[in-house]
Amino acid sequence: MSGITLQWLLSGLISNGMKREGHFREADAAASGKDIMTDGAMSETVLLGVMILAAVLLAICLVLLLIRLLGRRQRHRTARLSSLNAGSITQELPVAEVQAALRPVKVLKDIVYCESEEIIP
Amino acid sequence: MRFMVSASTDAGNVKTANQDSVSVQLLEHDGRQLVFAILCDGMGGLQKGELASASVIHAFRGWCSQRLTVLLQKGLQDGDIRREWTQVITERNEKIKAYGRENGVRLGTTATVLLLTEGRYYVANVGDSRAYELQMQVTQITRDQTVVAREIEMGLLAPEQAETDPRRSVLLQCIGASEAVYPDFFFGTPLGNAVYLLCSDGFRHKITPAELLAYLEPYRMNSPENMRQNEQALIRMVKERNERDNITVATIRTYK
Repeated sequence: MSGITLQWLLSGLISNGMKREGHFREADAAASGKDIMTDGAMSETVLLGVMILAAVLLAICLVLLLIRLLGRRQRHRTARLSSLNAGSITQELPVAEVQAALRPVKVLKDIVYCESEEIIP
Repeated sequence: MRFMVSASTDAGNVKTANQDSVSVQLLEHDGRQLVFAILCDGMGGLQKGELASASVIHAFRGWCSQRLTVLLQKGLQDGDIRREWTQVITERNEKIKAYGRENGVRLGTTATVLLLTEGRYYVANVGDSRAYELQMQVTQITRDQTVVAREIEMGLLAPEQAETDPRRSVLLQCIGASEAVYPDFFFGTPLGNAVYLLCSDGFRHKITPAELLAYLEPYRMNSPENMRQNEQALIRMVKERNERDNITVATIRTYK
């Protein structure tokens, strides 16, 4: 047989097989009382619920992505850590101590007498 | 307000060791003068009184160098002074007691501390060393923490009896020899053209208030040299009157 003939025969066999299968399926459906068009398919309510759930999940993902993108942009606007400013940024400056270091008390005259050269530390 | 300062001390007629310690510092901050003075009388009846008095002097001088500038920046408050000086005294009390236990000795000291600024004076006292204010009269700033002083306050003893009472030097408390120490605090407004005086009990036992004023009135204290000469004159007089204790005095003259 030629290749084309063989192909034609095979396609015929396949289509016939499909018919037979479909036939058998129609026969099965009729026997079970099911509508062949919806057999194995989801109901409208369930399908709607799935679509809504998917939409919600998609929305959540989009929001999270947006938050992440905004966070990255915020970090880029603050100073990058360097050896000069690395460390906690929440410490309060000891203002009084800093000012005291800049304007110390001067000793103009100092008189002290202690017979003991030793002290108790 | 400006200040002049001086201090003198002498072991006295009897004792070989001078267990008194004294420190007077004339300071300046932001163009304003102030004075920080401490006088401590080590316990003569106990051993190593000079060690105790020197330790308290050192502790307060350390407080001055570390804390006074910070408090001046914040603004001096009575409560801050009270809290911090009490802390210094309490810590010294514990340290000196611990030293005594470790070395098998009993030692202690009085302490009178004075911070004098343009607008306020701050005084802490433990024991029977005293702080006075002299201008037209002699005003005792501190209150003795002695048995006889308490009895006078309670009306059990007349003041004139206290001078000759054998318990006149018995203290209610002292730093290093008491379970806990509770300093008295006194605050006030300093007078211009006045003299502030810290002294140990050995200095004042044999002197009347009138004599004190006669030698140390403000107009006789018009230079640091005159101040020291007047102090030394009073010390000589006290020794001539057979005072047996160590004799120490610090004077601060205020003028505007």
